[in-house]
Amino acid sequence: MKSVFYLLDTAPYGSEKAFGALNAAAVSLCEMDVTLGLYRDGVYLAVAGQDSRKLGLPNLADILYAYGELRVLVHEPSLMERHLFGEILIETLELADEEEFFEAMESSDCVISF
Amino acid sequence: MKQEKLDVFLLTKPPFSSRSELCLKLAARSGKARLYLAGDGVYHLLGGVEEFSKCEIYACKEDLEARAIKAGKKVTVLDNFYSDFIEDIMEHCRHEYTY
Repeated sequence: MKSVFYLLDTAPYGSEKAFGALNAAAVSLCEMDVTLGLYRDGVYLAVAGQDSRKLGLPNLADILYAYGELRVLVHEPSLMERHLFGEILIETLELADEEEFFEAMESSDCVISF
Repeated sequence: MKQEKLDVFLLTKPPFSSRSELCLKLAARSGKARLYLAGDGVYHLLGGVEEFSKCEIYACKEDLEARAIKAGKKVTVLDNFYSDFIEDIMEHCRHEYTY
């Protein structure tokens, strides 16, 4: 089975990239071994308690919960940089230090960034 | 709503964007600034921008909620963010900057 690593380095809601990455990852799940990597501003997607109803946008945290089988790797140094360690994070996500994060990319057949 | 004529800054970029850096530098140089945070700009509140900048800070409620961010005491969360912002620019503003 082929494996794919989707890299997201853009914050959610400010642009459509996070929504696009989530949809691509979800669609690939049935055919491939999928990892979604949250890097730099992408780690903002990991914060629990998102409520986007007033923006009229889909709630991206709900999509993450809906696809529990999707492996989501969060780059720890990016979290630290953005003062997110004190925040409540979505519990299904996996924290990874720099080495683990890069190994996950290197071990995938392909890396697609958004 | 606000009498004194100040420099008004609208920031919609996240903290590590080069535009954010430029905006905050100019706001600090201004010394008399109001900073409006919307979109990804509200992420600046996670880093405590209200603590180290001398600006009056306003944030957009919908964008805070969407991103699960809580505003501190020094931040004014506006229900009608954009109408208040426009009134500020039209009535009480010396220069306006948007990033």
